[in-house]
Amino acid sequence: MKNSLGSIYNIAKKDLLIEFRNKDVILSISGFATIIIFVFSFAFDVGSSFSSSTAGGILWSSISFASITGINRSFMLESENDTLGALIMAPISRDIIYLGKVVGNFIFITISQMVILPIFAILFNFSILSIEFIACCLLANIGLSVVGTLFASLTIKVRAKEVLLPMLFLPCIIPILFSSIEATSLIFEEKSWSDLSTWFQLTIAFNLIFLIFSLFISNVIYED
Amino acid sequence: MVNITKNKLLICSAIFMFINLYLIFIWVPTEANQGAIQRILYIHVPVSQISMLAIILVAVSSVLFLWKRNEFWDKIAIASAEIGLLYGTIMLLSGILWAKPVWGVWWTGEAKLTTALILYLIYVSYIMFRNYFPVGSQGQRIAAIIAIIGALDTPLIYFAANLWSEAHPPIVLGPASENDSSFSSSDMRLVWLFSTITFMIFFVYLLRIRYKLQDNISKYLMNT
Amino acid sequence: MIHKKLLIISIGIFSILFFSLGITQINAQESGEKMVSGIITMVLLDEMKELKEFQITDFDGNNYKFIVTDSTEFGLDESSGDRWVSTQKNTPKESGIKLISHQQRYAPVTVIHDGENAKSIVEREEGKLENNLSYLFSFFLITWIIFFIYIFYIGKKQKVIESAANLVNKR
Repeated sequence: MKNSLGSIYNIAKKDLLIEFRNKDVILSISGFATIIIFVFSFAFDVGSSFSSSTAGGILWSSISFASITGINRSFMLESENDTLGALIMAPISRDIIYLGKVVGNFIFITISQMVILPIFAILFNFSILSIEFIACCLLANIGLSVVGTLFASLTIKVRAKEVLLPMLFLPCIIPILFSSIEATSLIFEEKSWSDLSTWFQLTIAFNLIFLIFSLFISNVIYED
Repeated sequence: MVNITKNKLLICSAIFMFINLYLIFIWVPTEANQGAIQRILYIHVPVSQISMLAIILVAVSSVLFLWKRNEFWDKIAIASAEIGLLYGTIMLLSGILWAKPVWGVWWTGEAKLTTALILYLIYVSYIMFRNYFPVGSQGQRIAAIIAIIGALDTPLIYFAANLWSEAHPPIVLGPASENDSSFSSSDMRLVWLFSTITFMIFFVYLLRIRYKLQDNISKYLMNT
Repeated sequence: MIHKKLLIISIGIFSILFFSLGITQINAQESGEKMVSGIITMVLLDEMKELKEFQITDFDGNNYKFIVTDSTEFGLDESSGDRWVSTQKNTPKESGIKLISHQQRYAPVTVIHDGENAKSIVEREEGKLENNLSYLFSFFLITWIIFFIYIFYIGKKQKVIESAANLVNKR
């Protein structure tokens, strides 16, 4: 147990070390998401008050678009140097590799959100400093990184994966998208925990189902 | 060798199709509330049921492929996915054309509609994946995983879309906006049943020729 | 090879002919039953307070009088927005009340009749039946075009694979 936790930590640490040297993934996620938010805020009327559900929709669709490009980028680094093959050959089980990558991607998305959210709050004039909102973001990030890592490892060898990966990823995370948008708009309307609980439960169920499925299937994903 | 045109199933389904058309256009009485447009449902409902069945078949045969590693299941999966998509296209088109005069809108955010569309998109990317991935056992394995993910995601999407449409009730106008059965008399139900049988036979025929094509392709690839 | 194509093409032509036949058939059915839309201007009840006759005035000002029979069908929206569906046989008294309520609200209705007896009285429909038929026709055409294209596509691929396999076998 301790050993496998250590391996997960090591894989995530390796990803983070590479990341802090070139800042590829975090820059691509936060830059892309910020640009989408800017474009939306100009496409609608700047400065006017947005309805909370529109704002939530813009926020989460930009984050989901950006996170899949970021995850794709992080796997590109692996395949460019064929380091994933080396990881698979290492004497650790495959679900540990998967979990390590999930933790790394989760941290990338969370750090990028720290850049995205203040910009969003300034442009759209919503208060983002509440425990409910942070919980909502963290839950959604777990889901995005679990499904994103799963699909990125599946499509690592496919050609035209820049097209295929979003096409697989975005329909699959629709439950997360729905629940985060709805939870966000409820939080902006200052509703209590009891109103949010259904959406949080949905996100948690989604995360658990996909995490368990991916761990179960990880031997097949990284077979060769 | 299965002959595409000289095939008992094709002849059988052609005869059934003609009887079916007679029943739909001439024999069955016009529905009082919706008028002539209700006749689309004699094709829409069976086709959507069978496309759902096809997608279940894809998921089941993908599971069996991962378990038994028998090529047969993989061929069934790809044939069934392609024909399920064909039926799904007709399902979406007929649904849209029916909804415009009856509900007053082409499309609404109703849970069943959202789920069907997202499932359709997931299987479009499944087919795209199969075309993009280099031929070999790895591609078959990963395609099977994607099919299982799609099946796993469906109840979650339905649940989320249901909650979502409760939070944002879709605006539906028109002569049959209430939720009563469109097949009110026993004659109509009989035609519906007959139509289901007809499209089922046609589905089996299409599945057979598509399976045979896949079989030939894999044999050819093995020879070269 | 040629007779296969001929067979498929003839099936296609036949089915298109069949659809057009079916659609003219529907038109004929519809022309036997006439349709009038307008506002209810008079409702006649008998001693048992059951609906007997009513009169509607169409949008050009013509008056039509219809007799209600046991088989007359109703599909009317209540003021709350709920739809009320029934036949005269099942609810002889209630149908009168609904028609009077429609008369008071000046709510337009569509009556399908054979000149004397009303067959169905429904809320006036925005989409007309004639327009719906073009939807129906376009849909059936599209369905069959999709099916035939798919079968052609499979057949063509099958041929390509077969000829390629033959080449490999000859070598």
